[in-house]
Amino acid sequence: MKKPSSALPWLALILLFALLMGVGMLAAKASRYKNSQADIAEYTPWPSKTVDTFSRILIQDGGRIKPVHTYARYALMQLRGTSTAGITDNAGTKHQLSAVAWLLDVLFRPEMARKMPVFTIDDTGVLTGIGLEPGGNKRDRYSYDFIVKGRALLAEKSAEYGRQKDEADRTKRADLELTSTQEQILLLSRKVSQFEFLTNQFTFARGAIDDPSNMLPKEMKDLAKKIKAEELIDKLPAMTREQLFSGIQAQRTANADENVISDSLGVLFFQANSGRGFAVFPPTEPSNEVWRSVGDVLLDALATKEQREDLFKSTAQIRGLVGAVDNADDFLAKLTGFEEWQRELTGKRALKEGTHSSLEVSLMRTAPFYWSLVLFVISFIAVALSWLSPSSGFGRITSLTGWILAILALGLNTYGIVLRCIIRSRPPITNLYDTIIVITAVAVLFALLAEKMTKQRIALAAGVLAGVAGMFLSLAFEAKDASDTMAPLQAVLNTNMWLATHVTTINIGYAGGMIAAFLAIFYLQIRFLVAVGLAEEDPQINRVLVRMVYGAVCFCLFFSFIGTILGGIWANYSWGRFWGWDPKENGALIICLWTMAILHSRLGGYLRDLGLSVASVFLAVIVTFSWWGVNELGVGLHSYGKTSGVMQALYLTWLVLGLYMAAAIPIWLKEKAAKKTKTQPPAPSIPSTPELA
Amino acid sequence: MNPEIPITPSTPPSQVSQEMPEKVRRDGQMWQSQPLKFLSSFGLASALFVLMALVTLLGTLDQVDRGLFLAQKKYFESWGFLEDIPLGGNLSIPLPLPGGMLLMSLLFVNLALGALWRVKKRPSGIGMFIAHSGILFLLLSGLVTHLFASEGNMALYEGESSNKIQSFFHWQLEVLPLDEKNKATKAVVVPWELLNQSKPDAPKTITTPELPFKMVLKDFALNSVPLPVGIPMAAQVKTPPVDGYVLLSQEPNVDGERNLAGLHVDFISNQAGTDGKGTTTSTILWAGQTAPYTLTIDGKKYAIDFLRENWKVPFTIRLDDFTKEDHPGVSTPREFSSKVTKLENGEDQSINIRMNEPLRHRGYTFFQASWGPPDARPGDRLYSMFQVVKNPADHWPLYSLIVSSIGLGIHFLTKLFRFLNRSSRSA
Repeated sequence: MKKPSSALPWLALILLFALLMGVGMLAAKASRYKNSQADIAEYTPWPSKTVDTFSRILIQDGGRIKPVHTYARYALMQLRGTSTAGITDNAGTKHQLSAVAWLLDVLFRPEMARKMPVFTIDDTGVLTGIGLEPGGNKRDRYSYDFIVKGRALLAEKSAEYGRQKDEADRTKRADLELTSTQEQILLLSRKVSQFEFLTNQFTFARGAIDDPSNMLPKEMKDLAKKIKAEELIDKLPAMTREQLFSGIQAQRTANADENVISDSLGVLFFQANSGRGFAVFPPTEPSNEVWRSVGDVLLDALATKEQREDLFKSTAQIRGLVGAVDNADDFLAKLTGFEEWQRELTGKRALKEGTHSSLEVSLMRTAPFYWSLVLFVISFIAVALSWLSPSSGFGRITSLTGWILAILALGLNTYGIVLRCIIRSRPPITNLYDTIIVITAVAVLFALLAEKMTKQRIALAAGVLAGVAGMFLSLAFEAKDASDTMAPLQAVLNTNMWLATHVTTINIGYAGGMIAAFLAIFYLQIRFLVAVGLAEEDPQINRVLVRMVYGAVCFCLFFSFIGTILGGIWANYSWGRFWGWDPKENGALIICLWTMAILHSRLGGYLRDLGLSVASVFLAVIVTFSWWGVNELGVGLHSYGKTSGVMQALYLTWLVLGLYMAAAIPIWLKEKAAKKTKTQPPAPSIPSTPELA
Repeated sequence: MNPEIPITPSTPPSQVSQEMPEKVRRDGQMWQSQPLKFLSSFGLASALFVLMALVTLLGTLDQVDRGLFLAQKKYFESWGFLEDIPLGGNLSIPLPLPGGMLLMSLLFVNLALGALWRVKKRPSGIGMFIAHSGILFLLLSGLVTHLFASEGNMALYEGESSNKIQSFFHWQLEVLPLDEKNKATKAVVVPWELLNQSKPDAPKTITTPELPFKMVLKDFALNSVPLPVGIPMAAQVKTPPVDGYVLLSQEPNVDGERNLAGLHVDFISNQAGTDGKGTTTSTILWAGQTAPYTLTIDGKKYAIDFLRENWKVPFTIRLDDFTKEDHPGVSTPREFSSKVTKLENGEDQSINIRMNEPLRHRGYTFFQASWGPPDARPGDRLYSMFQVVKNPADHWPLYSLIVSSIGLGIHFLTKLFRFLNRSSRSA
C-alpha cells in the first residue's frame, strides 16, 4: 500500500466519535426506564430446564405452528419493547427474565406477573388521562396491578378514542385526529387487554376467577369456585353455541335450580371464552389444520359428545400443570409429559407440523443477528483504529482484525438468513424484516469484494458501517414491530418462484444503491477534510473511491432494472398487467431512472467526480423512499402496513444525507478557486468529456 | 455528444485525446445537424430520466389523495400537466411539466437515435447495444399495450356462465329499437370514445342511418349524481333540468371503479315538425339507474340503456366452484381459486384458475382478481371476479427483459474484468 491519505486519521476520529455518540444515545434511551420494582416478596425463578422445555412447546398462532419461544418473545415485546424483562423483588434481588420465563409466570403465576413492571409508557399523560398518579419519569414501566386501578376509565376512554379514530379515518377530518397521548391510551388499552387475555387462559383449571379490576358479579365468582367445567359439560346434552347462548340468557325464574343452570352455563362460557387463543392442542381430525385452545376444546366437547373423551385428556394436562405450580420438580415432570404428549399427537398427523420448531428455537437462542451487530461494531472500531496509524504494525493488525471480524459478522448474518429460509421453506425475502437482513448482507458482501480489489480500507469501512447500520436496524425494527418475523404469506405472495426472482433481485438492487451512497459519503468526507484544510489532497484515494461508487451505481442499476421488469412480468402473469403505476413499482422505477440519469450524465460529461458522489448520496434518499417511504403512503398493492416511527426515522436519515450533499459545496468552491489560481487544473480522476458542441 | 467515449471511468486522459480526431472523422455530415445532435444526446437522455423520475414521484404521491385512476391520467398518460407548487399559505403557482407520454416518446427517439443508430458499432459496445435494443422494445411494448390492450372483468356466481366482459372504467350508451311486443331485436351502441368527447361547452351530435333521430350528447361526467332541482346544490348546474332533475358532475372517486358516469342527451327527430324542426326529447342518463329509459319518437318506441362498456369473448366460462382458503386459525387468505369450465364449440374443459395461475386462451387471459360478497358467511353462495385482459404485447416485456439482461450482463461483466485486470496489473 502506498502512502496513506492524511485524511484517514481524521476520518477515524469522526467515525469513532459518531459511534460513541450512537452508543451513548442508545444507553441513555435504555436507562430512561428506571422502574424494575416488582412488589413480590421473593421471586422464585423458573428452573432453566422448565423454561427450556416450555420454549419448545408448539403453539398455533398467526396462521402457523411455532415454538412457544417465538410466541413469548413477541408477546413480551409488544408490552415492554424488549425480549427480556429485568425485575427486582422486595428482597432487593434482581432477576433477568427471559420472555419464556415471563410467559410461564403470566400463564401459571398470574398474580406474580401482574406485579411486574412490563408496561412501557412513554408519556405520563397516558396515566393521568386514566386517573392515575404517575410515579416516575415521563417515560417508565408500570405493572398491571398499578394500571388496573384506572381500568374502568381506560376502557371508557379507549372506546371513545377508538370511535373518534374511525370517524377521523372515514371523514379525513383533521380536527378529529387523535393526539399522541390519546393514541397511546388506545395502545395501552390493547396491551392491557392482551395481558388480561393471557393471564386468563387457564382460568377454568384454577376454579376461582381472577378479577383484579373487580368488574364481575360476586355470585358468578362464587359459583365458579364450585364448578368443574369438564364435569359440567359431561352432564349436559350436546349443545350448539346458539343453544348455549339462549341457555345463558334464559329468563330468571322463581325456581332457583333453573337459575343455577343458566348461571352455570354463564360461568362455563366465561371460562371457555377466557381460554381462547393459546392453541396448543392439535386437532383430532387428521385433515383439520386448525389447532385448538382450551376454550375451543371446551366448546367443541359441549357441541359434540364424541369430543368429550378428548376433552378430559386435554384439560387434564392443563389441570396437572396448574396444580403443580408450587412444586418445581412436579411441574417440570408434568410439562415434559405435556411436551411428549403433544409431540406424539403431532407425530401421528400427516401435516407433520412443527418439523423445524427446534431449529427455530435454536435460531432465537443463538441470536445471530445480534451477535453479527456486536462483531460489526468491534470490526468497525478496529478498522477506524487502523486508520489512526495506517502503515504501522498496529495499523496492519487492527486492519486484519477488522477484516476477520467483518467476515465472521457477515457469516453470522448469512447463517441467520439460511436458517430462516429452511424453517419457512421459502426464499430469503418474504417480508420487510427479511429485506433488512438480506440487503445488509449483500451490501457488506459487495463492499468486502470491492475492498479485496482496491485494498484502501475504505470499502472495508463502508461495508462494516453498512453492517452496523443494517443489523441495528433489524433489531430496532423487530422490537418496534413486535410481531412474528416469519408470519405466513398473503395469497398473492404465495409463490416461491417470484419471491426468489423478483423480490430478491430488487432488494439486491437496493443494496447496491445503499453501498454506493455509503462509499460516496466517504468520498465527500475525505474531500471535505481536504477542503477545510485538515488533510492533504490524495488523488489516488479519490480515484479509487469514485470508481467504486460508479461500480456500485452500475450494480444497483443492473439488479434494480432486472428486478423491476421481473416484478412487472410477475404482475402480468398473476393479474394481467405489466405495469400498474403502483407506488412500490414506481419507487423501483425511480431508482432505475435515477441511476440511468447518473450514468448518462457521467457519459455526457455533466457529472464529474463530485457530482457523481452527490448524486449517489441522493440515490440513498431514493432507495430509502422506495424501500420504506412508499409503505407509509398506505396506497397500492405493496402496502405492507405502516410502522409507527418509520417516517420520523426516514426524515432524520434524509436530513443526514442532505448534510453530506451540502458538504459538497465547500469542496466545489475550493475546486473552483484552485482552477482559477492554477494555470493547469488538477487532472480529474476520470476523464469526463463535455458534450460536443 | 460523444457516444464512443468509453464508459469506464478510469481511462487515462491521453487515450481520450487520441480518440478525438477519429470521432470527428466518424461523425458524418448528418450528425452535424443540431436537432439530431440534441435528440440523440446524453444530455437529453439524462434530462429525460430526471424528469421521468420527478413525474413518477409526483404521480405516486398524488395517488394518496386522488387515487390511481386520476393520477395515472394526469401524470403518466398525458403529454403535459400543470403541477401546483405550494408557496406557503394558500398560495401556489402552477408549473407546467411534461407528462409521461411526451417523456416516453422523446426517450424512444433519443434511444433509437443515440444508442442504436449514432453509436459507434464496435465489439466492446455490443453489450450496451443489446441492452438498449431491449429497452427500446420495452417502450414499444408499452405503447402497443396502451393502444391495443383491452381489459375488463367478469364476475360469476357459482353455477353461472358468461362470455361477456365488462369494463372497469368505461361506459357505453345503447339504443334498442323496440317492436310491438316491446322486444329489442338489435342495439345501436354509442361507444366510450364518443361519449367521452362530449364536453360541457361542446355538445357532440351523433347521427346514424340506423336511427331516425339525432342524439346530442352534453355534459358527460365521469362521476355524477342526479339531484332534484329543489335542493341548493342543484343550483350550480347550468344545463336546464329534465323532469325536475339536474345532473351534478362530481370529483371522480379515488377508487376509479366506483365512479357513476352520467350525461344529458337530446333526441331530435329527423322528421320536421310544424316549426320546421324535429321534435326534441331530453333526458338524463345515469349509470346508477337500474332500468333502461324508454322514449317514443315519431310513434316508434326505443329503450335507452347506459351501462358499463362490454364486449364478448369467443367462448363461455362457467364458474363451478370458488374456494377461499385461509391460513389456519386466522383470516389471512392463503389461496383463492376458481374451478371453471370453458365451453367452446360444444367442448367442455375443466380448468382451475388460481392466484398466480391464470387461464390463457385465444389471446385472452383470465386472472383471479377478487371475490365476494365481502360479508359472505360460511356456506353462502360466492361469486368470483376475473380480470380479463387481451394484450397483443402480452409477453413482450419478458422478451425485452431477456435481451436487456443479456446486454447489461455482457457490458458490466466486461467492465468488471477490465477493472480487475487493471487492478491486478497496478497492484
